[in-house]
Amino acid sequence: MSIEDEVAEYVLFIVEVEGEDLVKIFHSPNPNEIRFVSVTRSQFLLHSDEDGFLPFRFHGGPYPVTHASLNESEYLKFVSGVFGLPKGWEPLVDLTPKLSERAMSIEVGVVIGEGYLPIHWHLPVGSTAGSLPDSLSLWDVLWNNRSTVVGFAHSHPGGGDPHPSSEDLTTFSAIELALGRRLTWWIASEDGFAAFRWQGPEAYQYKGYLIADTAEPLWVRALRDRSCYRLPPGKLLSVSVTPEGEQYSDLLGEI
Amino acid sequence: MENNVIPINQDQARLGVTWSGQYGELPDLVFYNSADSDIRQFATEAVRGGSIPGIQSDQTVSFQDFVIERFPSTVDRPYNLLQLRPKTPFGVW
Repeated sequence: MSIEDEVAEYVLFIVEVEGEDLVKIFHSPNPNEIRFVSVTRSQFLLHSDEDGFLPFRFHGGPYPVTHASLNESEYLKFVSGVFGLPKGWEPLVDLTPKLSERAMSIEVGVVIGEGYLPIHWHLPVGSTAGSLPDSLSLWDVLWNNRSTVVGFAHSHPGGGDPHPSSEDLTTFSAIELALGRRLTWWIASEDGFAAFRWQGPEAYQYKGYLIADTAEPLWVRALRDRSCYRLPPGKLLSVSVTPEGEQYSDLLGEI
Repeated sequence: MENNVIPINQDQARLGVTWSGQYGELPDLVFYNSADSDIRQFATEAVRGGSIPGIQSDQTVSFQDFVIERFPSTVDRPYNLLQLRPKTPFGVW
């Protein structure tokens, strides 16, 4: 199978060049499969529709590029060299002017299990800067880990103290009722982090606990990175690509 | 020996319910194209009445924030299946 066959229908590239974030969204005529590729300052990973981040080699790699600092021309050469944009593909949207406003951040979630460690990164198709869609696969993960799961964290765009939305609260409640026990619900903004637990007596009455940045779990940084928060202004992108044979868990350990 | 297997028509389905860490299927079949609100009502009455094997009776049950998954029959599962599960979206607004 050629790379052209495997490259996603929707590919999202995020790269920061000379202080500006560049995003190019490409599409193919085939809408049956959707994949995203994201580049952040610390990683170059593939988003799949249900499985969260996957190693870059999933697209036919591995590619022997590690920790490369790219300028714009190098980046474009890298992208075209790696993906060889398929015939018939054209830029769908060029959001370059808007990206300086962080318009392309995206909500991300993570299921937290025993030891308060991540057990599943949640990046479903249909996520936006301000929402994660309903997902059967997320429920399957929670249900299959119901005896050990301790909570779920997700990101909110913008800074300041995080607060759950009405959508969040009703989802917290529904999942807890289905599992038959209470969980901890964390929310990370760009510079804030808080945990929420049911207090009652009302169904949607949750109490928040702000957590100092010095006490944030290590996976909070990964959550923000994957949400495309905290892209450093004025710096070129560093790209890391999974070396051949490296396991995804190893990649997580680098973050 | 009499065969007690009840055939399931194409317009019928089993209804699986998740509640309080338990999963069970209603003994009675429901129409596959039943409205979501009707399915929630079927499940609510069944849990309150304690008629779902595997799920203890619960008078406080509420499926207000639950959604219905509809799985058509397959080769491996030759009947339609409806599943009531909690919703899972999150959002800023």
